[in-house]
Amino acid sequence: MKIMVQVQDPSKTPHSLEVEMLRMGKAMDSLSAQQLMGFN
Amino acid sequence: MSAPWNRRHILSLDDFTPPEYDIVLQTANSFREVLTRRTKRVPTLQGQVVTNLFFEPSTRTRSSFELAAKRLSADILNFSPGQSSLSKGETILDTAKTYLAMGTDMMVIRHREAGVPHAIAHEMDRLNVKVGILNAGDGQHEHPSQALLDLFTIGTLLDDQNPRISLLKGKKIVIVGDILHSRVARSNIWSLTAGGADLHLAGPPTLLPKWFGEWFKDCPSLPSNTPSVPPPPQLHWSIESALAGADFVMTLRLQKERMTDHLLPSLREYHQQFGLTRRRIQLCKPAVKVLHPGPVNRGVEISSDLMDDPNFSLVSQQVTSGVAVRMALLYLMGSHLMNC
Repeated sequence: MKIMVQVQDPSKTPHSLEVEMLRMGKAMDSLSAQQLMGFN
Repeated sequence: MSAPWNRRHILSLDDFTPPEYDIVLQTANSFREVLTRRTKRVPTLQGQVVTNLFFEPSTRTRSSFELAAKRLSADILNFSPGQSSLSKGETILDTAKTYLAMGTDMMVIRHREAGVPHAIAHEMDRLNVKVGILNAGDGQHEHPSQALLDLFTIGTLLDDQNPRISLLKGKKIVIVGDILHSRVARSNIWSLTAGGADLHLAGPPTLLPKWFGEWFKDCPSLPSNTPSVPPPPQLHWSIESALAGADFVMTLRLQKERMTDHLLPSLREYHQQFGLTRRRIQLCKPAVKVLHPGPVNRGVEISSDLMDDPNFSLVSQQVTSGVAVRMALLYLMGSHLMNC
């Protein structure tokens, strides 16, 4: 399945992986509350 | 028609090309004319079976797809999970295969989990069967037909006879609201940026993470013939800065469970900070138009008087456009299936 193949791509850095998960609507499963706030 | 249609499934807009958008817009415009006739029905899908597999409640999308299929003279099957064998433990794939065995040609699928239409399409391709899958909303991922009807509504407003994606170039379009959880927003980001729109996203930081500004970075699914990576959407954590000089504003429905998720203090405070009101709309261009995918929470994401003002609101036109666009999608997929 296209979505799973993209998520499991080992060449992705953690940051780009999370941006990609955001594109795929999987953000709530993976991002912390602090990250969701958008500020460090 | 400028280019052939080569898609068996419509699952996402992430790899749609400008010529494909134009085919959908031109086809939908033809069907819009059909819908003004006394007899609003054409025989193009006669004998084909369209199955609505809605695993999640839906009123307008399901009705719109059902009417679109009927206008094309297709036979319709409607599936509701509460009255089905799912409640007896049947898997989603087995449900899909059951409808396939009944002779379904196209399945329109909605599910609350992202990726379910992709999974069913993958299984159908593996079985090497001629059936088309149309994503009618999967979780927070995408809602392609909604974004295409939004595009068609804007396109026909800009050029009634010849709507095309290039009309978006340079238009400032603002999407306001719960971007994070919105499949409508995600599909619209793909379509609006493909047309060269100046896209702005606005919402509270809890519902608009800063990473939306990196939308196209390292994106694997951009069409291979994209001449350059589109500029990313601009983010605003204040609605006023986003609205300045806007041509179109899309407001998103705010789901009340966001408060129990502690992402919002209250609906009243959300309206005070991000609600579209008559005062705020003055910040936009004078001819600004407002879109909403529905259902609308009046007095939350948009004030009731603005929602009802035909000088601003395109909501009714969106619903009407939805039937023509869904007719176009079913027609294009059905024609492709008959020819492959």
